[in-house]
Amino acid sequence: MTSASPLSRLPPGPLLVLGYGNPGRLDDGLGPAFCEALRLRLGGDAHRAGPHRMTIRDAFQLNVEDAAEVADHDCVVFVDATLPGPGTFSFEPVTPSTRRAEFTTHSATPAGIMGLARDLLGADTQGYALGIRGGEFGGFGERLSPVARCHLALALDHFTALLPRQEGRPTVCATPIRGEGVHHD
Amino acid sequence: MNPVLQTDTERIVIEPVTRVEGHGKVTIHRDAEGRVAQARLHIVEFRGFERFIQGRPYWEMPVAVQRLCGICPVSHHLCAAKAVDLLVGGESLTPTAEKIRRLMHYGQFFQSHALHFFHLASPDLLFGFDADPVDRNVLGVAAAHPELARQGILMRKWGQEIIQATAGKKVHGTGAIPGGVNRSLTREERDTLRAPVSHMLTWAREALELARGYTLENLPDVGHFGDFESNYLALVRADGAMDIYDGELRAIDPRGEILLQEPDSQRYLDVIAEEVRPWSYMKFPYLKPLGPEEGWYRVGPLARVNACDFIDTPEAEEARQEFKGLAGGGPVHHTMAYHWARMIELLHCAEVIQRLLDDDDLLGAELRTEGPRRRREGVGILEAPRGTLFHHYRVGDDDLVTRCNLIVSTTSNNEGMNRSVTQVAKQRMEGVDRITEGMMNEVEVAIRAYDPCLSCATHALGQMPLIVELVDEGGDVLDRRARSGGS
Repeated sequence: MTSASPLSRLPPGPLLVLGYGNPGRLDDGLGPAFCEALRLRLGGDAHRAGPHRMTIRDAFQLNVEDAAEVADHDCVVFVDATLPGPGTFSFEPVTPSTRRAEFTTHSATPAGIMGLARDLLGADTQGYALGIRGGEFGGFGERLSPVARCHLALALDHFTALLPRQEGRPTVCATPIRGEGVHHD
Repeated sequence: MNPVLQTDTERIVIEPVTRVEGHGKVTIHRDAEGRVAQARLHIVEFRGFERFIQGRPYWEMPVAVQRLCGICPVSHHLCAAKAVDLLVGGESLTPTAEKIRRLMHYGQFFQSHALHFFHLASPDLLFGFDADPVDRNVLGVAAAHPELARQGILMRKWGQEIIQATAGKKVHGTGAIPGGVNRSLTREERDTLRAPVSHMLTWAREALELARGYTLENLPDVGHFGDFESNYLALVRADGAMDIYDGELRAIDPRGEILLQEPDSQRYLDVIAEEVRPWSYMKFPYLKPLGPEEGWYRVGPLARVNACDFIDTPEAEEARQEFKGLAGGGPVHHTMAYHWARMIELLHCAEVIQRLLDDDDLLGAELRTEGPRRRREGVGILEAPRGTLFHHYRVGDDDLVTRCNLIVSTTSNNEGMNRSVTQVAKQRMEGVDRITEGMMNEVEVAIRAYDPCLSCATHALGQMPLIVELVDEGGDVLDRRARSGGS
């Protein structure tokens, strides 16, 4: 794991978890798979009424209108796959930017979305990017590689540890995931 | 590989065409005197979706076929549902089912047209075709026209929320099922969608005014930019009104005379045929009675506004009448007028959505109808944002699909886009020694006016760099320019 800014807890207030990628392109689907695993771990829709009023959403790619949803939340965590390399996952703050390099027609970066939210919608949303290391990107298939599933489990543990705990019971259950709901052999 | 490469010409390649959905490339051949001998829009990837779904059960089609595209999946979702309605005896939907489907469809149109105008086309219109590409993108629009960019984002968001409420998801939803829908709206959902309607109407009027003003102010240039007469094809209601969800196929000639009107969608093959050309994976449809030489046609906003007799919402109808006045009441042939026509439709969609959201049928509980199965074959036709869309399925006794034919909107504009590319190339690139980035963009501007979805037309994935090469007779590269895709 790498982290430029160690964080013990995510800030309070409405939280958006936005996982993106193509579930039909193997480990490119790590972002949506993370969302599915997070829903399972948090017990279905219970997260919506929790202390974070958390919204969990998956998408094929980031689009400019995501800036509007980002602006509706105090904090956003972008979840995406990263290409094979050292480490298991990264968790880093995102600085808003509207440099041209942050946007193309077919994709936008978290920094670009944050920049649009700030500049056009007056948002002061805190942003983080959770990058989960994948291992297999070269073909078609609605499944994750073994290494991606392992990294997903570690990233999910890390993320849920950052969530606050509700009075009387923890928000997060301790059941380890095995890629339930995301593996389609 | 291009089979028509000639040894005594130079060849210019634009790959990929940017700020369109999906990927294609343009090749332009110039002869020894620098005259444009040939210009073509190539679709470089292969779809094969019709073959892929053979052997699948018919009830999967509305969900499976929309995977063709992440841009306008609702069109494929609903068109497939219309086709399989016929297989289950569901020709006549309940009022709730039809209105939920229509709301989904008009919501999709609204967000798709907003996306194209604000994010893809407006940089060209606001900054000029040859403006610095560093600024000629949506972020440049955000910096110079922040309120416009903000409106574009929020209009797109509203359309996506309508899709989510009616289809279950913003992309690849499941709302339409054979014979109906699987959900209606709660009163709370309906009221949430209705809250921003007045803003959307205001912003749609402003976008229409921007497109109208641009066209009229630049008519001397716009009127000769990738411009030519053509036939047009669109669905119209039986009384001649614009209808993007259901209707009769109508084709008009360049003077606006009705060439044909087919009330039975199941007979579309009596009307449409497709020609295959060896240099493209995208077919060239034509009106069968006229043949491939005379029967090619254009579809999409320009075709719909040209082909209908009226629009049944007041503000859009007023805008249509002014639009048609540009050509003395006949069809408007300017390729760049696609933008104006598209914004007339944007306003029309906002008006229709407002009307639908005031209708309590959206809250109804009768979601599905089914009758005795009478058919083993079904054809669905609707207007997608980019033009007329055809889905045709044949199933066996085991309910598995044995044949599928899809004619997507962009395919119908294949000939028109190629003619526009050729004309702009002749206007801008003949006799010049050096190809500039602005010249390249002008070719793309002509293609962009059609809002092509090359992903639909071919099923493309990925992103490639844009490379333009100017090559002499001997094959030596005289000039080469490259930029990253997606600008």
